[in-house]
Amino acid sequence: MKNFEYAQPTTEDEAVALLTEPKKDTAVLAGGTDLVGLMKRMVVTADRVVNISEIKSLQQVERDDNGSVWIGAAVCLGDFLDNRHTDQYPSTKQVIQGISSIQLQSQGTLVGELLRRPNCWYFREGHGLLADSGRMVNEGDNRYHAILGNRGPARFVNASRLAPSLITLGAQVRIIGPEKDEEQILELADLYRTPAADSELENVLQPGQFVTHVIIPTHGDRLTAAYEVRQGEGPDQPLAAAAVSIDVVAGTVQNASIVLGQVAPTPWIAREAAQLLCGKEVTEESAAMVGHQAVSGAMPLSQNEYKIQLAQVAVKRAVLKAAGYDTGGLDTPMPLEPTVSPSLETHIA
Amino acid sequence: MGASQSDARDVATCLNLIPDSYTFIPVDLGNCCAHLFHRLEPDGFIMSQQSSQGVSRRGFLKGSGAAVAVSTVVSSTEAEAAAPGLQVVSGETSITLKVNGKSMTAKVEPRTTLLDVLRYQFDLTGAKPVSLGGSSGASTVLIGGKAVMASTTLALAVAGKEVTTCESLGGDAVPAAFVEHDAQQCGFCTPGFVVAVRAFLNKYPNATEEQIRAGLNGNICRCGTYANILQAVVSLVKGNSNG
Repeated sequence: MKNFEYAQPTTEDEAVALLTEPKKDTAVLAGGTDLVGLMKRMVVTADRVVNISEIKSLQQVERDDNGSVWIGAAVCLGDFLDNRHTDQYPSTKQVIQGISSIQLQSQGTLVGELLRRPNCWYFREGHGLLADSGRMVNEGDNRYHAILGNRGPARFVNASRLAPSLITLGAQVRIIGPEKDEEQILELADLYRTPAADSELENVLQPGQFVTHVIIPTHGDRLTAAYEVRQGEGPDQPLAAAAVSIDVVAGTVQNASIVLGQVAPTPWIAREAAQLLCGKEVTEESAAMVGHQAVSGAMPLSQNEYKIQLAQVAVKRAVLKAAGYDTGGLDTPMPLEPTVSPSLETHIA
Repeated sequence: MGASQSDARDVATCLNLIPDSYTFIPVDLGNCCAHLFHRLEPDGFIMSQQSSQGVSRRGFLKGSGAAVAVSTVVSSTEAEAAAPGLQVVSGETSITLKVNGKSMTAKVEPRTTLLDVLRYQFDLTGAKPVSLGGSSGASTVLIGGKAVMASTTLALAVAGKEVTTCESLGGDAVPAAFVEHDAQQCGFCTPGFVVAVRAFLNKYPNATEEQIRAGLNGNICRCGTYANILQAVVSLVKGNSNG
């Protein structure tokens, strides 16, 4: 690890002042589950690391007068799960329960998860986000790379597992800096971007800025769910994921929001698929049709065509799960005792 | 001590880790500060600065910007002195950690991880350095009762906090259950598992088998002893011998 200066501010103003010292490459530290590993690999070589986890105002989960819940940047995943204010966001909780590792839940923060750097192995081995304008990804092993939004040089997939569900909930982020007292509220969906040049990040944060809170509006009667297709259990990156939020009145979907994860350099908002669901009942058929629509623009690379099917199924199962159907898969506990099907019993008899 | 001083300098220079004004002092790996340089550990060298004067913050910043400043440089301006939250730590500094109930002092740089301090300064070698990014869970310790990976925690960030390592769990029910259920093969992952199980059961004393599998999936065992570890944890839940 390259050595660096370390600061532990106690207020937001101090943090901004520390992050904006001229000519310094700064990094914001909260849980450290991503940043410290990247610094050890010299992928991140900051001159100064500012630890924001001791700032009191960032350690709270609070509900404001409108019913929106504010989650500070130092709040860890486990505290989000355990907080009663967050019970109204089952899809986000489902994803955190899927991450499940007790260490990540008590060390990793919600905001840190949203800003996790891509897991693209070319990036993590120091070849940059674009890995030679996409050439290395195209010619190399690209089984986990993007199938959507990959027509520019960026081929990595956004690493956040929580972003899809939070975007379907209409979450926003509060960003402060780089000037003192400068603050803005941004739609979470607009925090992400697809970099077009090596100098750009996968988010719109400028040097000296950082996210202090995620703000999740009250969700009313919407039904929400998230579904991840995973290779195995736990902290590993899913292969494809989808989150859904729907408004159902008298059996018919009035309003829908569908966001895919792990398929594009940003969380992928499937507007047309969501539109397609409106005015319909949620059935196996309509859900499958929506899944099909969500990946209709996919352009697979040489080794990741399989992800189209997985993404399609993720959307279908997320829609069904939101509507209360049991979809099977990893999220549903398997019965511990094998059961004999009725038809087989008849046959044996 | 196999390698020569010049070998170590060559290695470090290649890695762009140090400026020319530093000399190498070979030290015994057993009780040294070699943790400051992961990449030099195998040869057991540390670096010390030739001048005993230390460096001023300004001089350090204006200089090469290279890896090490040995002196502590804190809050050089009056404004910073007025606000402790604006203090910037650069180079080596002393911190106090409460480890397993004892107050212990360590010399750390900003980049020194908690794992480095535990293993190479406090000689608490239960937590293991396995993965750079903490994906193995082998370095799990408790900070304020919460399971965290010491390998991805900076020592400065936990100064003054309560750290519990597996060494303090000797009389605990968890290692006893591991022994009873033969829940280790090579044993390298075991300390991380033991601490993770302790934290997990503190939070979910009545966990189901499925919850146990999920909650412990931040730990990896390359021998694949999972079945026996699971049995050990299930026995703790069932036996209620959990305290």
